[in-house]
Amino acid sequence: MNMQMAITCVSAFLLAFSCAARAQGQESIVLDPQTGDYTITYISSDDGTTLLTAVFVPATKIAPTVTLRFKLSDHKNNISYAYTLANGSSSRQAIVGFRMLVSSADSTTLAVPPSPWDGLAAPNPGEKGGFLVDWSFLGQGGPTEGIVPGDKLKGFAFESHDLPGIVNAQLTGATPVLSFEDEGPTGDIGKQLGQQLINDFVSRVVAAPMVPIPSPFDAANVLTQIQANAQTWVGLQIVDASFEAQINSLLQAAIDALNNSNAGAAVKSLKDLRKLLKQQFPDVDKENQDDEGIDTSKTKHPAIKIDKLPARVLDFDLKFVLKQLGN
Amino acid sequence: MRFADKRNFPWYANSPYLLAVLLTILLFVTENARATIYAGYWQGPPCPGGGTDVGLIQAGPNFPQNGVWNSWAGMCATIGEAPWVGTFQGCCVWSFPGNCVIYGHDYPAFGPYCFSGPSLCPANSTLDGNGVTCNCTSGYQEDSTHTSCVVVTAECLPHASGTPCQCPAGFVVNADQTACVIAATACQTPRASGDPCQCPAGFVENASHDGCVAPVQHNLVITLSGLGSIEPSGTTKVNAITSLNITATVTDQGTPVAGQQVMLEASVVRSSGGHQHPPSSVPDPDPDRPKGKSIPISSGCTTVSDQSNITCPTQADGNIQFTFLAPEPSGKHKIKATCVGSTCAQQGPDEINVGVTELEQIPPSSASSYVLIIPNADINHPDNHFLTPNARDVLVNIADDFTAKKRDPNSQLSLNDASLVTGGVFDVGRDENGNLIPWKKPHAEHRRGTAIDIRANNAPGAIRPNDLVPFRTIAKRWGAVAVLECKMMQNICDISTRHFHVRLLGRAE
Repeated sequence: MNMQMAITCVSAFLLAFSCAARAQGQESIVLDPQTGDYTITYISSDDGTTLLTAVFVPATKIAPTVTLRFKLSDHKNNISYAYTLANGSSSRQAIVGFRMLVSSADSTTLAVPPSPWDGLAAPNPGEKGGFLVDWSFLGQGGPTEGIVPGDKLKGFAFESHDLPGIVNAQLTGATPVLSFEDEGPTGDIGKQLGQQLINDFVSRVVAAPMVPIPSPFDAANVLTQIQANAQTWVGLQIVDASFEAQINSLLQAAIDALNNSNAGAAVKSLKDLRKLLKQQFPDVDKENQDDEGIDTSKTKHPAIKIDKLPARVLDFDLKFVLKQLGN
Repeated sequence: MRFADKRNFPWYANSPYLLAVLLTILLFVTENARATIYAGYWQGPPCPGGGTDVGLIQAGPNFPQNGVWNSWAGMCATIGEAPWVGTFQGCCVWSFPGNCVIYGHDYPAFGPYCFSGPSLCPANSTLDGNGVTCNCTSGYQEDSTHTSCVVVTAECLPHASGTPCQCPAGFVVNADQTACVIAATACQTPRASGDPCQCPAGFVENASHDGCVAPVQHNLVITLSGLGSIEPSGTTKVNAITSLNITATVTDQGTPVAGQQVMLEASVVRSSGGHQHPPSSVPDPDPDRPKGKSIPISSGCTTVSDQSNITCPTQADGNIQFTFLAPEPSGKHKIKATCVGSTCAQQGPDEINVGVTELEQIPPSSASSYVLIIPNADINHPDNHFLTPNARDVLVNIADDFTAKKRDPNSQLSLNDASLVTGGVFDVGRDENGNLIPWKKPHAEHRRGTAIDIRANNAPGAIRPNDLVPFRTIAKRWGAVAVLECKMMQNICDISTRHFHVRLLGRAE
């Protein structure tokens, strides 16, 4: 193994793959640690023998921070969601995309930063369903477009009739369009690159509409959807499994009580759950407070059983349900 | 039976016409009233010595009936008076010109007036009292030629025929008188007769090889089950069903048949799957077209090298099981099932549809946000605009979104290859002369209806340079992945060939 290969085989599976491919003298994907770009070597589909190359510049060379605020709106019985994006100074790209899949959004309330930023709130036509909310900078991909390193931008906002839950938002950096001679790599290299292209974004855990409110209001139904969203939090590494079990247990007790027409017992379970959250964060119920999206790649303090953002989202939702139940 | 003595009838000599009146035709009457004509009959008054004076004569081979026979004429003339014209069995013959010949014996020199002549009724019969008919005696019946009486037999046994009933050649009536059985000495083996021994026509050897029996009628039927639709192989879809377990069943009048060798052969229906090639000059089936493979599950099978057909014996349940593996190109397959050494009628379904069945043609844009490039320049694949409903919806949204926000008003989305009508390999490879290389060098992807090519060259109706990045960005917001592809000329992208390859659902095919 030469020095270059030693450098490229440091961590990610892509790098490990590139080592194997290099050893065979065939197709490969090699990360340039200096630029963060990938050099793709592949066999021409035209003649089946010629090795061609392309450079893939990932849209992940950004250091985004998402600050958000959700609150009851002043009109339409909506909840308003507002986000501010910041790009860390260590970033090597401008942020040009912010996207998330939510349960619903009121497209007429969509706020968009100045052009060429463009906003979208529409049903997602793909296989995942849901509602697509997206802000994209429709520029030419130059380094000075979008939210450049060290800068931040607010004005990404919309309203929804749905209560907040937790979702993974996708942020992307400015890149040139990936171009291939012929039809690009196929086979294993093509599959690996395909996965890289699908996941060509940086994730941040944010609050967004995820809990539909039925009309007429059905507390058991709402709690069931809150519970379903909360059950994804362990996978997102924003809650300890044992603490999630406590949340789940108290929500289920409330749901069962409501299904048995025992509103009093349901209210007690919900209040107990709010107390549990307040024990973790005394200001969990403080209104008009900005929250910060979570970078799940950062190591969590072992004493923390739940991140503050999901705690505040859950407390907000429970407070809403309790209010509907007359408390 | 006696001849009459004419001497008691002096009137006779003078009244030959009276004799003629008495002459009649002897009818051999049987129970069924069938008759044989004899030459003549004569009856006179009772003889003085007793008995009935009757005569019965039979035509000889040279004795014409109902005519005049004169060869004896001279002879009778010498021994008798006219009109006696000759003799016959001791009698003079009296001829009536133009009428029947009759016999008499009135000439004294030839014997007594009355004497007995031979009976002309056949054996086992007696003359009826009417003197006209012969009746078969009890236990006998008239034969088929009405000339003899034969033993009466019962109704013919099976396979026996004729009168009297007779078994076929080589067969005899068995001891119980109930059937025709093979004559024990007819052949060295007990099965048949003749040399070489063989069963008679219409008979076959029985199951225990000890007799000839009427053959059993077979009605072999072969059916296939488990057919249906599967997806072409070679795509990236996880858990795509690209194979079928098929059962071939042979029955004989509903009963499973074991041990029957069956050949199962797959062929592809020409022009199916959206491939309008090869030209008609190439024989059908196209020898180069990839077709599905048959992999035996049952034991005892043989397989040809390309696995397009197998030959297997049916198992105890009459079944053969095998797995059909889809090829990479889509297309309808026919499975032909043939019994080896027997005639089987194949009944029921025989078709496997290899293809992505959910594809739909891209509709014209209601918002004029894209145009379909039609007709396709590739005449081998005229239907190249098929997508899944999800992918189509993403495309429409991208197109509408892009059209509303494009930077260059001259940018346009011109849609080229998506997938063929049922997906699968989209073979577009060309040789240096521009001729199609069928089934080889296909489009990468374009197999599942989730990818499409959109022009991005300098030609009118393409995405203009200023809109390349915005288009990529807009595609991405809708969950798609768009990359540029082009041919390189001296390390520079040949812009005229440039296009976006868009994975509408993000994933590769």
